[in-house]
Amino acid sequence: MFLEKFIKRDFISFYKDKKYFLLIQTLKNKKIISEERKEFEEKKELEKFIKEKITQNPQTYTSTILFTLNQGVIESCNKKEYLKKDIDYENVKIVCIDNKYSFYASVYDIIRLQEEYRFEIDFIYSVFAVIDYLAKERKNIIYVLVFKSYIILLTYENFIPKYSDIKEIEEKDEIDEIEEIDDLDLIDDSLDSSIENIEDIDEIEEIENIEEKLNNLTTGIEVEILNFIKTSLKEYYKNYSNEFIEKIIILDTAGIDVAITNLIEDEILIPAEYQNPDILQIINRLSIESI
Amino acid sequence: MRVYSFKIPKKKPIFKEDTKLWLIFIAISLLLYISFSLFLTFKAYILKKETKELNKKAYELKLKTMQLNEEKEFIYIQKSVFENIMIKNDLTKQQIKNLLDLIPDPITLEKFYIDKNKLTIYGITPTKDVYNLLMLPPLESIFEKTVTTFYKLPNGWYRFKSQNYIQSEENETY
Repeated sequence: MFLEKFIKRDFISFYKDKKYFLLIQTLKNKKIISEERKEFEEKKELEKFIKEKITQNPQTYTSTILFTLNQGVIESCNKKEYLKKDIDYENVKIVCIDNKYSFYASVYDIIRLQEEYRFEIDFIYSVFAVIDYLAKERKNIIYVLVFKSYIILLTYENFIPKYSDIKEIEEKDEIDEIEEIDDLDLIDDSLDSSIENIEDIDEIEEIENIEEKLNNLTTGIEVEILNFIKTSLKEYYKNYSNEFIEKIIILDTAGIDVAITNLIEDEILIPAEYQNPDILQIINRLSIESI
Repeated sequence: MRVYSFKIPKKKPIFKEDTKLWLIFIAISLLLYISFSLFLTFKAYILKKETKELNKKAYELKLKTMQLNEEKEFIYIQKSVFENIMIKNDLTKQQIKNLLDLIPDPITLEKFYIDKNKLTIYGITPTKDVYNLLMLPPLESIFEKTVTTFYKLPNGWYRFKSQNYIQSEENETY
């Protein structure tokens, strides 16, 4: 349409990962003319902000991703394949990609997500769809998308997503954390005593690195990620494929330690790569391409 | 183009509700403005045409007025001529009446001619004295010059011819 060249469109992408993350991009003639990032602690604040934007510009499209456990990837668009995998075909919404594979999610989860917010959500994506959009390498590879509350795993075999899994990261109790801190103090004490005996500064730095690694291994979510990859790999080899995984790509949004690649390589013996994608921007891009 | 979304968005309006209202108002006012300007153009065209026609009519009326003025002047002239004639006629009538009143009983008037400044009377008188006593004095009192010639008739009476001038003949030649 002729008018479309002159119309400003706002694309808002948001998701909840402990707090609410939002990106608003304003497009004119398919070019981004401005963008703004926001973080909200409360849902009310997010709703107020988005509602205001919708009132200001009726051409505002909101998009989000679905984090629920009742979603996944099937290596076909066929109903039979769904039934084979014991998925209730009638109660899932399916998005078929290139007539080769499909993403599905529970209809009830989608409805629940829409009802959760007091504004209309225009696009709802499976969290696996975001990985699929990002995935450039698609041969025997695992993508692990890390949020603060979720770990999403998607495995490709010969360009088709084969296996998917979601893990919700459990919040640790404060008491556990304190105990861990106490443990760490003990380690610190032992380290300190050993430091006293060592005069060489380089050795001190090395010990400090070891201390950091120890901290990560015991407290961070990196271990949780590692364990999740391990269990997923076991399941993958057991029920999905005989082909070996050649690479693991960590897509981090939570700010985990880059050293996780070393940890994975050491523990699982598969080459790993760390990437830091902008999920909000990808969600918006998916929506922009759909209009 | 791959569509990943579980949901397809509804068609969204391009303009806000109040913008829509504004646009409608602007459209209506534009429409009114255009129709009014069209009406004015049409009216101006009609007025121009009427002006042209009225100018033409005014020119024609001017011509007619000129013609009527000419006619009026002609009528005035005619009227003055008529009035002159009437006055002259009245005068002549009066003169004839006066003349006839002048004629005494013993004298018989045969004929008379009235010119512009000359009166010629032909008649029969029993004697010259009768004429000179009864007829001549009034004539002389009216006219400047009076010339009378007598012809004796067989019965002893006189036929006379009296020529009376208001102005002398010399003056008349001028």
